[in-house]
Amino acid sequence: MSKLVPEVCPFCGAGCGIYLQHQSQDMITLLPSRADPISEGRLCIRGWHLAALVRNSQRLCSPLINGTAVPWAEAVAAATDSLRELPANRVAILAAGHLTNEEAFAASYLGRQVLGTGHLDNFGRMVDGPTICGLQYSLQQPYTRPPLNDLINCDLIVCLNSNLRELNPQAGAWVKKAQKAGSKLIVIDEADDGLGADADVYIQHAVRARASVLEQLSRILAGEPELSLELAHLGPASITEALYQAADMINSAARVAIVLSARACSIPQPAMIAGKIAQQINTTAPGSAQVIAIGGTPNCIGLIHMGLAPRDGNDQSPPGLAVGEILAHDQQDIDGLIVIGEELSAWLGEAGLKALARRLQCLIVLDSLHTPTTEIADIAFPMAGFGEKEGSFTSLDGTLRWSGQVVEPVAECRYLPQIFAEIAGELGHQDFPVEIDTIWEQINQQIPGYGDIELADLRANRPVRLDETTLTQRTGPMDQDIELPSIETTAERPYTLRSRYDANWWIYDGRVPAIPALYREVRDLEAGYALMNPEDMEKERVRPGRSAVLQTATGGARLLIYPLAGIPEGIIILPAHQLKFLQRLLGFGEYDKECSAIYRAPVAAAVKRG
Amino acid sequence: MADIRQYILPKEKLQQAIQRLFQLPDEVVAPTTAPRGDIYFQPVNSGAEVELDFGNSLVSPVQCIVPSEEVIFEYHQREQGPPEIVAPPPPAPQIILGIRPCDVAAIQNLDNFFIEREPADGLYEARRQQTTLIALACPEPVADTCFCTCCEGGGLYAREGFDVQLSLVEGQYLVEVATEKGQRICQLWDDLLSPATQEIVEARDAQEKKAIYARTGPDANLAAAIRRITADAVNPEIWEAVGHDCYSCGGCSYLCPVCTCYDVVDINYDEDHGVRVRRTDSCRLGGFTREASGHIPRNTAASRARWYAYHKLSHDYYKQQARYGCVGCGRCIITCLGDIGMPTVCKLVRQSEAEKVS
Amino acid sequence: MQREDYIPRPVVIDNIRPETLTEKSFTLRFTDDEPFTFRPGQFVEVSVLGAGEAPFCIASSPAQTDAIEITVRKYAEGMVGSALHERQVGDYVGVRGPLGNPFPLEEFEGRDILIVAGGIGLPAVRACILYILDHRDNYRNVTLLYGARTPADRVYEDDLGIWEGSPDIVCQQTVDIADEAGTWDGHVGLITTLFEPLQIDGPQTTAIIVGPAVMYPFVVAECQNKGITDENMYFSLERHMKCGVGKCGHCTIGNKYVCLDGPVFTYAQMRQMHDE
Repeated sequence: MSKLVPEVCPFCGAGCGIYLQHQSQDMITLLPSRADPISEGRLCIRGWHLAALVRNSQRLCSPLINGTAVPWAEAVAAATDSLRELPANRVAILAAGHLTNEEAFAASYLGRQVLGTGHLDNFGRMVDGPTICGLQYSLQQPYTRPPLNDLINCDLIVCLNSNLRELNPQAGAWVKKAQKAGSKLIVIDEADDGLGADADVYIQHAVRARASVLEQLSRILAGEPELSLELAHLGPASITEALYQAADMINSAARVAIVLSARACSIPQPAMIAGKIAQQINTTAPGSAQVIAIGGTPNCIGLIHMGLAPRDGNDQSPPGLAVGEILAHDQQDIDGLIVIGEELSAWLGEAGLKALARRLQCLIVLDSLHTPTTEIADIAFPMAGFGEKEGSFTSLDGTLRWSGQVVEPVAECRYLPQIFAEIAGELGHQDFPVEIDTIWEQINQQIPGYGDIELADLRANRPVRLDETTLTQRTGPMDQDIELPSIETTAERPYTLRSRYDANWWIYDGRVPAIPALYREVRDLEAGYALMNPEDMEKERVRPGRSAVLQTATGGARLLIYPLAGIPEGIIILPAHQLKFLQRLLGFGEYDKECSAIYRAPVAAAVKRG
Repeated sequence: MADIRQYILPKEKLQQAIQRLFQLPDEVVAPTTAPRGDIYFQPVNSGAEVELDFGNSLVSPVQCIVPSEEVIFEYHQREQGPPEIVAPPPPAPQIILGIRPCDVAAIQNLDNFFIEREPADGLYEARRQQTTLIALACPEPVADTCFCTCCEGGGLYAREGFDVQLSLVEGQYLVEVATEKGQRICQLWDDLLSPATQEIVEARDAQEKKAIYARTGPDANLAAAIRRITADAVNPEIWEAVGHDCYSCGGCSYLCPVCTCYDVVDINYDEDHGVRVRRTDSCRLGGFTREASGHIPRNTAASRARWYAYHKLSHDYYKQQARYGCVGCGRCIITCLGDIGMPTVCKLVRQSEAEKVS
Repeated sequence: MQREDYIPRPVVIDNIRPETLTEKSFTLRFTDDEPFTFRPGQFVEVSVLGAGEAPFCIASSPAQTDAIEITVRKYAEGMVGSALHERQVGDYVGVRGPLGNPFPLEEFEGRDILIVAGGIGLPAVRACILYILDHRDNYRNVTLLYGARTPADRVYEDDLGIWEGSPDIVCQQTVDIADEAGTWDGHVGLITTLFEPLQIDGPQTTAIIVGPAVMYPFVVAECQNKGITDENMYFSLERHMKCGVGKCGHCTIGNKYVCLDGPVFTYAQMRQMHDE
């Protein structure tokens, strides 16, 4: 039996602390931690099943070439042969949002130093990007938030997600704790998915009018002229009255927190205006308001620090491409793609994944699980997964937290930097950093803000904070390319074509408003739901309740489609767990959240019509 | 309590007594401090690792007998003939030192369920027979979440179910030996023990009474809730309300020392070789009752909350298992995201004014 | 029970017979010499290593002790069923059992027997029928009502044909929807429509009812109409059973463990159950 190894849950941005313990054979035990300040011994359904993530039947156990198991040497030779043939800057690396800083550093090193490409990005930006982008826009500086447990010190919480408990259960628990300690709660959402019933004031607004409603609240707080209800599609006239009540509560509160989940925000406007409201409050009473955005991925910010995000171009090199651009169906600039830990068919659909594989000369996938992506890859490498490696996450609250290694990688799985070192070695780079100590020496030297961090402190689970001054340094201009539409026209319309915001930091794919959150959900919980108006359904020849693949410029996902009259145009997409909301709207269905879905390989998308 | 022998161990001799346990071939499992400062029951190699000044561990030491995951067998497929199936080695003897009275009570529940109620569960029985319990009584409720005194048969010290029990009374330990397994431990301590006096036994009772009267912990009138739940006289709105706050995370039942439900899964990395394991399962999860057809009989959080309470707190199950399924350890209070631990549910049930619901 | 009791006995697949598009019947032969004895209504846990374990009713005659037959429907969600469907003759799988309480057929002696089976429920009562036919003299009138969704959804077609022609049993079939090909010349309508013309001596009749849960309330109403008492209506309930020995907790209904206290229950018992 091994010692207890402290870990940080890799499922979302809440950062719950737990322990893992290796018993014997393949038995891994999870122990919740009451001493951990974020989780205090509480975990969500996914956290409770973390041990099953380490050892399960879906693990990828040996290297694959075209889906067939091969010896390591053969796979490494095949990968290096393919990569050698590709010209520099025609290969891209895309990483999942759950990579550790150390793995991300190695990936970035491989891309920039060995392969000479600037096309590096991570999927964490797809999920958390819009929210962080919006906050940074209004705060005019990189966003850091207080830790979740700071909610207990607030006497008013304004929450923008009535399903916060499902999006970020730990945040939901903290809101409840704060309420018990006397905090008031205002919920602003288009339908109540749980939290509204517990709120002191629940403001229900028109569908897709969140940004406009927040703007209205901001204007009321600032004493500016109100938006006209019709123009902004806010909802019933009584909403203004409710907003005045909310404004009164905000004005009389000593400490206000605006809580939102990045998983549910697919456009930057709500976060942007939330940031603006916090700024307004802080102007009159400094330090009394904060926005607590909870990331959907555990290390979205660390991955960017480590260089897994495209940088601006300069005289020597063109700008790097962002994830949406790299995966775009008409992409002509990329011939080779290395994907780390992400299941692409969840973003692209099965057909999109096949098309991508056809388009590329070489698709190399590194993953700890068997997925449709590892099946279709030219070369797939089995990677050490959670609990089989040590490493750090950088949380949105500016701290670094360490997860230890509890067990050796299963079967032929190897630690990511080790796999890259083998490839780099074949390509003539013998000094690739593999050991954690070596990686940290280089992180200390090269990564702004990480210079003073001691690896020993991390390993000993001592609190480690990023250097605030370097953290606030930006690597590129902020306002460039951002052209937020005037608020009267931002009723979150679907199909707005907008390639990216501020590619240097965060991207926002506005082609379908809910895409990042949707695909995330579809991946986690198998299938989402789409609401269309009945005429459009007829036009598209889809029948109610039938599954169809919603295809957009960047990909597609399997969705169950239902009619909802009154949608002016386009589609409303609901993640699978929002069925309760759907039931309330339409009155049908069956709700199930089976635990095993978290480690089951995603269901392949299928095109079905009629 | 005629067959319980009582002795006194001076407080300063405790460390010495603990150290002697390591003379036995048994593995000693005791509360230790984990890196973040949590206390968990872990195998220890010396008395210095043992931390007996603790509340209770968030993970019950019952997991030493019912692990959250255990191998049923390992299998190897063969080219010809039936697969080779290998059962895990028999469990080694272990001593659980410092187990609290609530967890001792939980083990009595488990004995009733796994061994007394036919057919007996071989995996449990084998481990249980190899386990010696050295209980550590609570001088007062050790955490603000404790409510063992509200539970039938519960209290600050165990009346039965232990092999040895240590109760700190007025600066010395009252040592009680209830079984042959316990006798084996006491032989190690022969020269450290002196006979107990009637005064110290009475002092312990007085100490418990005093603590019960001064109780400030969670309010849980289980008896009233049991009556209503058994009669099915709980307004469905109560279950709806509990279901509203329930995250269906499963935490309460994963940490509950009495919960027994498990899932059986095969873990294999290639087609030829793997293990069949059983791991604790939770009736609070949405898919718990899923049938092969996809039908889920208990498909709402409210129906699962009702079932959970019924299983733990109804006379129907009492008849089967001779105990109620709650020992008042308070772990569900700590771990619940929705703040609906057992005492809260009992309070809601008690306040429910509905008559018998048809 | 021993520690080894969770270990399945190896069986070899002797025969696979497709019943419908989604159902196959498997003959599983024991490879050790120990006879396998069971009583009608009991079930076994079938192991496919790598996929897990799932409960199946024994469909073969209790007179046979060296092999059993099970009928398996393939569901998208059912891992064991799907894995079984991919197995070939000669492959090894495992069996634990027999488990659960049987139909108390001895108690039914001297009475009329009415068997009502819907869809995939027929395999669960086939052992009963075969037992009763083997001990035909002990029973009075025996009637089987079988309903399926379409003619193509019927299982054990050969047996149904034999029973229809047998003087020992009255066998009536119905389908909810006749197929488009028009080859079905039998009764069309829900299973309840078979009750109307039946001549039943209610108080003297014991009913055995197995089928999808949606069928139960309607069949119960018909049986009550005919004067069959709640104590004489026997059901075999389907639940998600993992262990089969009353420990894993998945199959509980009220304070009953379906695997241990059932799967056979009378309607009178079912009405007492706390839950659902």
